[in-house]
Amino acid sequence: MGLTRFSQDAGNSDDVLSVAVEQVKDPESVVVKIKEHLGEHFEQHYVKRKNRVYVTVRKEAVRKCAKFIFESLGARLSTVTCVDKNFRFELIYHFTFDNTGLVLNIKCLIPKYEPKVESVSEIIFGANWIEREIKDLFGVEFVGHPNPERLILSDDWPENEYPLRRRLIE
Amino acid sequence: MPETIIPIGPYHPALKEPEFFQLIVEGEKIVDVKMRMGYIHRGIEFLASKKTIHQIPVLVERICGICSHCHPTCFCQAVEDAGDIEVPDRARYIRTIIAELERIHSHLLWAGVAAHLIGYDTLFMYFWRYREPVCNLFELLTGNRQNYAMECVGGVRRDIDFKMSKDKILKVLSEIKPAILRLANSIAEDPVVKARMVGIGVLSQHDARKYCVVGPTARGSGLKIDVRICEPYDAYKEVGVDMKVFTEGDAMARTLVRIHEVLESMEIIGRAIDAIPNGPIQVELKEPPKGEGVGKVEAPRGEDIHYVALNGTVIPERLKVRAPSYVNLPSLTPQLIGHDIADAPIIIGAVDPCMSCTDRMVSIVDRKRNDKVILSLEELAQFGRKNKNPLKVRR
Repeated sequence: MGLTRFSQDAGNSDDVLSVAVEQVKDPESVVVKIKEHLGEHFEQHYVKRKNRVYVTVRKEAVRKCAKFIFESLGARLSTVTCVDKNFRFELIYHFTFDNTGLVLNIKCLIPKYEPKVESVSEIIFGANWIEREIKDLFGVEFVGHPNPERLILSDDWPENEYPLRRRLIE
Repeated sequence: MPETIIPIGPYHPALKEPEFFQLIVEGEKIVDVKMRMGYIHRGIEFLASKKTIHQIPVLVERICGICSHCHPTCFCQAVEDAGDIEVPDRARYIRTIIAELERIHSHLLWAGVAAHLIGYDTLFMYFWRYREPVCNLFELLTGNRQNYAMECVGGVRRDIDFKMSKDKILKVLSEIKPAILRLANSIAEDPVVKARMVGIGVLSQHDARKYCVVGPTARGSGLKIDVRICEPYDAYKEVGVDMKVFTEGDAMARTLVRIHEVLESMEIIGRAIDAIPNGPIQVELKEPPKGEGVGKVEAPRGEDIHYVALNGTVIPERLKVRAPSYVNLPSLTPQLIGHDIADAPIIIGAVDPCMSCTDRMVSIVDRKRNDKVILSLEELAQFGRKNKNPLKVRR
């Protein structure tokens, strides 16, 4: 069959760098490194299972933390989830390590009366749309976002109304 | 400075899906791109917070008509992760076989659309001809050509009698394999296809990483990203996957990645059918799972990720869906800038955008004339076919 002819154009997976920097293999050592880097901004962590680690950080340190994980540890930002926790919003940054499959979930809590957090879009271009979507649906303001326009909601949607925000339960 | 915007969408006859791209042009060259999404935002995440974990696989299956197996699998994985539920071996193999068949049909569909976008309609029809038997296989195995409804939390809903269907599956695959190899050779060597795809829409490895792209778009730019390899779910650990990575980062590289994947998927299906164990196809849930979980699946377009937060009832507190096109589409900006308008359809097409998954726009503006030229994507595709000199090979 013609496979040989076609395969001559095939790429070789061995001589390709997976990422610019070497990735860390062990989940615990990732947590230790983040703890060292963040210092007092690191709050707690738990390992759900081998490849699922949840780390809670203070909201002041989100940008610093994302920069460290993306640039120094070599992870990729999969997405950001916002969860409405009555008086607070919980932002979860899902980072993926592509050689081990580790999903590192960086959590931070922000108060609902002042939903503001630093944007990571300047560091990670891929976060641009994700942050605009969260701004549309939950009304979380990302300080320093390069293009904070609407993404999902139509232009005639009323201001200060957010579809996924829940009513406060006292 | 006046500028010309060429809008593509939100409603246009070529891609059949609503998105709005604004291409800002200077003469023939694209200088900037604006995208706007949200035309088919259906509030799936909100709906999911009203339904039970048994109803949600049916709901998330309808996010996308092409990768309709990946979303339910991903959701089930997230719930299984939260509740530490072990899926039986036979169910894992059935999920793998359906997922790989879906990859074949999705990539063949894409290859047809890409051939149509560069004006090579013969190739388009050939690809779709060989996609048809795969859809028929789905009908045989699951009862549906699309939206297979195979998934449930803790396993699969229906068993497949592989004693009956094994010969049929292998016969169809052995029939379309030489045909796809022939078409692959014609893509790799045809001067017209090369002129339209080689060096077009280049996404460098650095940009690919900055934009966090996934799937064939990432693998075409030299990033080794494949969930099936880095975190083997289902039966991929047992059957094994061979990943092909290209470093060119252009439309051609992504095409070759996909064609290699079609061929690899056929191998995987063959190995999985041979190795499928007997046994139960699902586990019974004793009580609703509690906690949070992340599910990851390699959809035909790349990594699909679901996050679910469960509070011990059958209705989840939060379901977050991130489809692969959502991260691949923003990477169109560096790809389109500097290219001719005629190349825009194939560049947009080459990332295999799925608007239903992404749900989120491109228009073209001439900065010198400040007149807004409005073209539909069909007109643009025709313009591309007429005005492009196919003999001008860039590389």
